[in-house]
Amino acid sequence: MSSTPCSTLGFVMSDFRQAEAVTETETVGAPVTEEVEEEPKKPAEIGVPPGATTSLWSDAWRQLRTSPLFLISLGLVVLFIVMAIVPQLFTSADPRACSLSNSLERPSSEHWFGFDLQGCDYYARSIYGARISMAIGVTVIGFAAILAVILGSISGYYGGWLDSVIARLTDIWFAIPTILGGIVILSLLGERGFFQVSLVLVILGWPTMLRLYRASVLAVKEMDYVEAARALGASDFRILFKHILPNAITPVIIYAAISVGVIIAAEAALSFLGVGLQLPAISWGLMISGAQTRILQAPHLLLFPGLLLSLAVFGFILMGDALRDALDPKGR
Amino acid sequence: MTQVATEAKERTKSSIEELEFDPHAPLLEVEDLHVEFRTRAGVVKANDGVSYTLGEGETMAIVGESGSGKTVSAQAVMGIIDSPPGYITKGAARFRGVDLLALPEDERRAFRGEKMAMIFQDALSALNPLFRVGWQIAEMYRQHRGTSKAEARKKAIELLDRVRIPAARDRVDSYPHEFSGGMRQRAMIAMALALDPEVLIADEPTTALDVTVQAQIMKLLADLQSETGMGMILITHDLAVVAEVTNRAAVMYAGRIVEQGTTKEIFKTSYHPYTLGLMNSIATPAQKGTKLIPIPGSPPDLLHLPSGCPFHPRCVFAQAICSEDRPPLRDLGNGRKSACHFAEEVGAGAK
Amino acid sequence: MGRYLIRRVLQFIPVFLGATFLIFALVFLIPGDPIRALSGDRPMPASVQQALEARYNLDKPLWEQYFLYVAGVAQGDFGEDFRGREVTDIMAERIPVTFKLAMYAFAFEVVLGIAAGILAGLRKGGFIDNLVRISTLVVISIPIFVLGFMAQLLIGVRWGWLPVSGLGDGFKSYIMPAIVLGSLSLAYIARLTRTSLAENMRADYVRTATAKGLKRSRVVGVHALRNSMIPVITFLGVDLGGLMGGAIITEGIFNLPGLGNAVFRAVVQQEGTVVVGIVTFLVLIFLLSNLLVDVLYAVLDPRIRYE
Repeated sequence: MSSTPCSTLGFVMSDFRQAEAVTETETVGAPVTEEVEEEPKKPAEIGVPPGATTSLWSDAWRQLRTSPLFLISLGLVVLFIVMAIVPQLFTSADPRACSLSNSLERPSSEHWFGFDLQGCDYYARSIYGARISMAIGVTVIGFAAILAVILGSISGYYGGWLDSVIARLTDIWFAIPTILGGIVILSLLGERGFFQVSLVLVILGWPTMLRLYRASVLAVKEMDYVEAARALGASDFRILFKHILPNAITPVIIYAAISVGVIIAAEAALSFLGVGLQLPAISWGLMISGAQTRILQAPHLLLFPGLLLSLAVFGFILMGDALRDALDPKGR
Repeated sequence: MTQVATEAKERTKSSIEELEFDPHAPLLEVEDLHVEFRTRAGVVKANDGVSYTLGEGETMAIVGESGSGKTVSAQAVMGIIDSPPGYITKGAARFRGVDLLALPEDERRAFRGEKMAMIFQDALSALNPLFRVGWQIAEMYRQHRGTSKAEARKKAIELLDRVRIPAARDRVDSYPHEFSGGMRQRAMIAMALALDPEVLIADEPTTALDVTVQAQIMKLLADLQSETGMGMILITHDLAVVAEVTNRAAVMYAGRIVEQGTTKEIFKTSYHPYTLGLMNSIATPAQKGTKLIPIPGSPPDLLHLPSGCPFHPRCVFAQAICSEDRPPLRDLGNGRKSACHFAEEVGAGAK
Repeated sequence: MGRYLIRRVLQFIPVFLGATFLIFALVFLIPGDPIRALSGDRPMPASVQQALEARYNLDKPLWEQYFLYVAGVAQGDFGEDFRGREVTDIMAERIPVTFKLAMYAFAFEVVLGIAAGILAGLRKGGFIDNLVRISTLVVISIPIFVLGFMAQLLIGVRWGWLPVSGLGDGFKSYIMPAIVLGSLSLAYIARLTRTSLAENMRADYVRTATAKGLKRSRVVGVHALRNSMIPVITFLGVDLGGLMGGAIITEGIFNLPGLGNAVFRAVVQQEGTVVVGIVTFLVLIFLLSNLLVDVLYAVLDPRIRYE
């Protein structure tokens, strides 16, 4: 039975857990590096001649390579990464070269997305908007993941009072829904740039990842191969990072892929509300916010950043989905 | 129970009664059953021409390792194979002459629970964790017979008594996870017997239990069977259980039956190398001090079966012909069958 | 079951205190003059400043300030905004609107989401399944504010079917915002139901139920469904938090005078007290709903009651 029940230690979850619902993963513990000899329980599980080395990842990769959904998502993700790193590939215009004489011009064949209120080339701005979104997405998730892995390892592996303390703390965190918390904190900060917004999103987001990884560690640490390692005298550090990590990390990876999308959307929402990034930063959320008052006259102001934003989020979430399907040992 | 629902039940029941059963036909007859599973990696023939017969009051064992296809054949008879990916491509399963596999689903469903019942290996996962045990047993009466809730509950308590669960009245409202393994299995047996089926299929009923509990459950099944006169198919890989409880046995390997006969006979003389290997690998006190003799090699990958006889790579008696010609299941007389080119030799050289 | 309940309630209290303390501390620990932080860039007459300082007991140590605040909250006093209006008055005015919006959104997402999920879950790999999978992904990807504006443009303006702004048309005013608000959750619920049901259909107890000769409708509708609903119920508790965040945006876009809008405006106008007050209230609601979900969960799943 699949379920992501409230843990026994806490019962409150933040809306970040919505993304976790998408994860719904039960990939925990499937041995990553073991040789799998086939002694099939159900004929449907047979896929490999006996004795061949398979692992969850190589199997997954085989499946992913041919999955159209994964390939599409990969294409989107790569597209946006490239867009973020080298926007010049997509546009030669300068997003900040604005001239009021072009204000609110409709899209045309030379300027595909038209112009915004200030007369800036909207296409250029939309392309450049990818940069900050990707940067925030990757940074936030990167940090959150590192924090989650470190603390989750300690918490899950050693348990005890430290675990209880961490569990209580994360409970408190979860009690505050992300957007609400983001609004409160960010509205009180004076300056709101990349650093502040990222920091706030990390603060709001890492408890979920921690929970996820900790649960994973708890499950994996009971596995026989961990006990075997311990019996052979491996140090805790080694066990945690060489044996437990590769096997417990799978749900986190899936969740991370999805979360990049969620973070991108969150930053856009916060910027849209006015508590995220501020001008002159180029963010899709800001652009949409600016488009609000002129929707009727100039719907293109809303459409294009909205489209790019949705595509970016879609790409990551789809990838997480495809990864989850490929890595789910039950589906093999 | 509404008027419409009761009438629907009457209709289904009478539709079974309308079927023409053959009084001379065996209780259950499986003929040339072929079941395949279509997977990403290819087609697996889980059952490749399986035939056996079960008479009233008989207990038949289907023996084999995991992957031999024993469970699949029973599931096919019951009609509970997951489809996709499983498909019954050929064969018949006749209950008193009526081919279940040829019936429309509604009529086939009428047999389940009423005429044939099945119990499974892991009672904890086989019972619905969210409903009380008594409720699940009573469900048989409420759904099939239209019995009232109160009456059905009473019957459930009676059944729990019958399967020797102590203090049945108190336990009827417990949840599955509140029972011990043995009691859960008894509850599942109770549920299966609710409507007095004529055939009971037990799929590894004791594999998940402790040895002492195993013995109790097997005794319970044997007693119940002699009380009711029902036919029982016991699917197992445990030869000790086979020896104690069953009249006849069929040994399966790689989706086929490789040997058949009465249990006594099979234990005395095996006419197939695989059966011989199984018998030899049982550790007995008499062998103390000697090496155990396992069957060399491992079970075949059903996607890539060896040519000819699927057992030949592991067979001590194998000759050239074994890798070329697949031996059919042939009659050796006296109800004995074996799928081996050299069945007689195997029998003669047996322990 | 009783013990389980008591434990949950007991767990609730420290979490609530912790969360409110966190919010409180965030506001008052941010470096700089807290009064300035609360008032933003607006200039403030000295009298107001003094009154505020007295009000917030800024001369007292932080923990005492916090307890005074909580004591105030317990008595229903959430402070005042800078025009001297009681925050509780603002809330009282706006709660009904947000409540209705949330309820409609909730009903919409639960009914449609579960229905879609069941249809998809029963035919895993089929056309409906893939349709639900892809469409829910698309919906999840489109940020709620983009969706809201698009809905406004198309349904409200272009086609003129529904009102786009304000509460003028009674129930009709809520339709579009409720759908927009619920759409994200609907997508999650549909996916969750789908996955959960598909998995449960492969479970052993479903095989047993079929072997018992039960009708398929009963096997799915009674046996499988109940088990499948457990993760969905769990999610619904979390969902409320998402609805709150979404409400802020939705009320802003559709100009509904609810709590979300109040927070929105307060942020823009830099009314710190209002923000903190409403957020505290919302957190309380959120925690309570999670408590409720936990209870529901225990009712559904007897195995949980003994933890």
